[in-house]
Formats: sequence, structure tokens, C-alpha cells
Amino acid sequence: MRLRCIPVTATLSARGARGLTMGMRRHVDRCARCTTEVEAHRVMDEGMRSLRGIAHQAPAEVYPRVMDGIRPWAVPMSKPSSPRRAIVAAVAAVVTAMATAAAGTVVVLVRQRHRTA
Amino acid sequence: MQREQVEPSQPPDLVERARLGDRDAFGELVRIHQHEVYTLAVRLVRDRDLASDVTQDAFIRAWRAMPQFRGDAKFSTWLHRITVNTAWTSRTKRNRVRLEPLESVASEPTSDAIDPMRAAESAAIGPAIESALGGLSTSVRAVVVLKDIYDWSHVEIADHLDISVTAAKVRLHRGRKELRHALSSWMEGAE
Repeated sequence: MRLRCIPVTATLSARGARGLTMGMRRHVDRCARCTTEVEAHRVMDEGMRSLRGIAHQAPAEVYPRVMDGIRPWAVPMSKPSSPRRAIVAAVAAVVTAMATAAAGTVVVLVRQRHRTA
Repeated sequence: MQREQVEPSQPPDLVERARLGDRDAFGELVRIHQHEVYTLAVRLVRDRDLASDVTQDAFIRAWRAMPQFRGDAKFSTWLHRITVNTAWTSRTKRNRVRLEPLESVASEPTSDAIDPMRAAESAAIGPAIESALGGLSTSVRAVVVLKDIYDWSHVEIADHLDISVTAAKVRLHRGRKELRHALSSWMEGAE
């Protein structure tokens, strides 16, 4: 392998033919070894992409096993909350906070009255 | 073994119904996507029994996570991510990897093939690539499969495999180099 072939080979493995610089391409045009290498990577890349289009047949037992497995969670984990429900929750939170504050105030006033008495 | 096209079509409301807890709708999604999920699992774990388990677990995880699916990505893409996570977790549970070539796997030309000659070439090399992938280590193979077959970005791969982007690039480089070496005899024979 010549010195100028090394970066070509490395670039092909790392980034494919699209990663070759102009200088590398000029070298490839003059180098039979690198031309073969570029062609091999092109075939390999296209072969890899072609695998996207095929699928292995899933075993027949997969579907029933999945359906058995999801039975315990047949009810969705969280239901979408309605705006009305959110308003009721907010009002309830405000009322609870106000009631707690009022109760605290009453307790403080009663204690103060006891001390003064 | 039968072959099917990946990216199967599905009725538009199926995902929404499943998201709202419709078990039958989810069952239909399982029927539609089980082969592509199983295929991805086989390519990652190289063991048909383990791939069946991964497929089953991935769908069960998907069912649990359905309420959180917002449709930002395609359902199949989302399912692929869950499958990769499940496969990656399962590799630590069962450390038995068979490196035998997967039988009866053949490539079919896809629409992005440039011309019939090239399409035939790609189809011919498909089984050789599937076999050669089996010779890669699990961590290297996962990166090559996700990048070169499923077109994931380096960032996505790094994120799902819990590695750095640099590590993903290094593994991809190493994997392609090893694949090129493994396929050299096939290519010489094809010339």
C-alpha cells in the first residue's frame, strides 16, 4: 500500500466514499488499488442499505406471547386529564390551603389569648 | 423463511387508539410491526430465541409506554428505539451469542438502488453481509447495524447504547473495516 492510499482507506471505513476529499479523489483516479477499494465500499454500502428492505419472519408464538403479556396492563397507565378535572383539582388545592392557613391563625390567636389571660 | 418489506403501512387511527388503551388496536400494531422488530432484534443479538424474547419484551414495554407516545417520531421509529434498548439490556442477561450464519436470508433490491445491475449486486451481497455481521463483536455490530442499515445518527446511537459519540464513530470505523475484510473473498468471487 502506498502512503497516499492509507488516508483513502481510512476515510472509506470511517465516512464512506462521500467523505473523500478532492485530493483523495484525484489519487483514487490514478490508483487501481484505491479504485477497487472505493468500488468495494460502494457495493458494501448499497448491500447494507438493501437489508433495510427485508425482514425476518417473526416466530408464530411471538404474537400470542405479547398479547398474554399485556393483559395485566390493559388499562392505560395514565388517562388524559380533562380541563374540567384540572380546574376542580386547582380549586380543591386552594380551598385546602386557605383552610389550613385559617386553622393555623385560629390556633395562634387562641394561644396568645391564653398567655395574656 | 418468508420475507417482507419493512415499513409496513397501518391505519392512521390505530396508534391513537392504542395510546388510549385499546388493547385490540395495540394487538393490530403488534401484527403489523412484529417482523421488523424481530428482524432488528435478530441483527442485534444474533440468536433467534433471544430475539423472540427481545421482541416480546419490546412490545410489552411499548404497551406500557403507549400513553407517553406523543407522535413526535413515527411509531415504527419509536418502536425501534425501544427494541434497541431492550436488546441492549438483554445482552447482559444472557451471554450466549451464536455466530452461525442466519439461514435463508436474502436481500431484495430497494427503491434507492441506482440501476438494475446495481440492485442485483446489492441483493446478491445481502446474505454475505448478514453472515459477516455475525463475525463482529456485539458492541461493534450494534453500531454498524444501526448506522448502515437503519440510518441512525451517531448521536442517536451513542445515546441508546450509552456510549460516547466518539466511541460510536470508532466502533463504526472498526466494524466497516472488519466487514470489508470479511467480504473481500466474496467480492473477489463476484468479479
